[in-house]
Amino acid sequence: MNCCFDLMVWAFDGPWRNFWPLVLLPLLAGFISDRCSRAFPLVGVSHRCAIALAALPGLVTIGLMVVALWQALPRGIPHSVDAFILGVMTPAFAALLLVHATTRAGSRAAQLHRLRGLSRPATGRLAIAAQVVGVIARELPTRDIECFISGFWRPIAYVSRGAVDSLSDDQLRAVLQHERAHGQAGDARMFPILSFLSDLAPMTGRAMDAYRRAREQHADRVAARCAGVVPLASALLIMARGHGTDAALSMAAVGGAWRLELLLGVAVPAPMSRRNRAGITAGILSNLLLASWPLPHVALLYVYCTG
Amino acid sequence: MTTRTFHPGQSGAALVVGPLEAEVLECIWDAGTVSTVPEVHRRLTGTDRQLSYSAVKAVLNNLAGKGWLLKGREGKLTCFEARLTREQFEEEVIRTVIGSLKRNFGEPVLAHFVEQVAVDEDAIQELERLLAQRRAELE
Repeated sequence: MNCCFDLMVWAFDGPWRNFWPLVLLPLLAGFISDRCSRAFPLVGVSHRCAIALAALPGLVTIGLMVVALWQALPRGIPHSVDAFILGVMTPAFAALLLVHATTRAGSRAAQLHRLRGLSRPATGRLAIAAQVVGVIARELPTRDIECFISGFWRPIAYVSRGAVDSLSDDQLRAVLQHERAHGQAGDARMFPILSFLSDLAPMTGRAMDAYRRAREQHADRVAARCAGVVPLASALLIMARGHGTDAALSMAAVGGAWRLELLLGVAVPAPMSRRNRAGITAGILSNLLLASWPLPHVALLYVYCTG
Repeated sequence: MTTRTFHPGQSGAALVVGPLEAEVLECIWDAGTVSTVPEVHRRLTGTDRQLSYSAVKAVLNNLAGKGWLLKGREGKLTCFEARLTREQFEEEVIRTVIGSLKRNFGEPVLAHFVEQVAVDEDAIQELERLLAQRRAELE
């Protein structure tokens, strides 16, 4: 009994009271997120669930970082080991996590900015297709086959010269419709936010993959409706052929040609089992609880401080 | 080859190398042949520009060190040649940037259209058969 009490005192009143949650709770949230993401089917994932599972571990970390930094602010120069742990070491660790995620986000933004600098305004067939579809497109002067959308405030579809040369007009329009669907759904904004949050917590990769799959599926559905299944599926196949071994290798990780199978009606989204649904809901709720951890913590401290 | 530097306000080669390095690269591309240090220096200082010989030599050596130029000897003179044409340079830079994004950030750029398509040859053939079937149904 005494041992339990001592542990409680150590955990909630000792100098490590902000440090251990900052290390353990994001790990726990990440673990829950990872386990729940395994229960997602390959197709037919709810993107909201995937967002919750990808974002919550990062939000847990942010909440704990705020507490750690807030408690360190009024302390001044530490005169004891306890004060050093609480006032310097813990906030330094929190700041390190924040710097790590911010640096990665900055690096990502710089690389994308670099691609924008290297791209050119769309001309010829690409310009016409972009005009028809109603999307801002730029051309990457490379023979490699690349096609993606990026841009937080103003999403721009980047299509490589190699992709333009290997696709017919219909196929090019289908590809741009796909990218436009991403832009309209706000995916280009959500992705950097989720990437930043997932850099703050471990083991969120599977949830991010599930989110990406869900959004690809949505964009394919919109593009197939606007441009037709055949141009979209044939564009995917042409680009897959052109991409060679790299794509084949990376594909192994995401589970095969599910997009094409889905488009051609070979695969149909299977309903999620009740057990998996319950597991995912429980996981999201647990992570929500973990994310709200700092609130009672801060409230208790406030009550304690104000007497 | 290194493309760590990045100058967002610039265009062309100056995006990934320094401004003077970009000028030297452009100069070598314009010449189209193997160039020696005095030749590059002469071309760059042609328009009343103050630029020391040693600065040009240092920049050429830097570019060779970064892998953008090939360095050789022509008699007593050191000569330089572009490793890539202007177009190949652009492609290389784009490939490096996209490769770095993929390597460091997984799937960094959203909706990378191709990345999630290919499987092996057999699967592609099967999908092509299904696609042809679908096309025939529609016609």
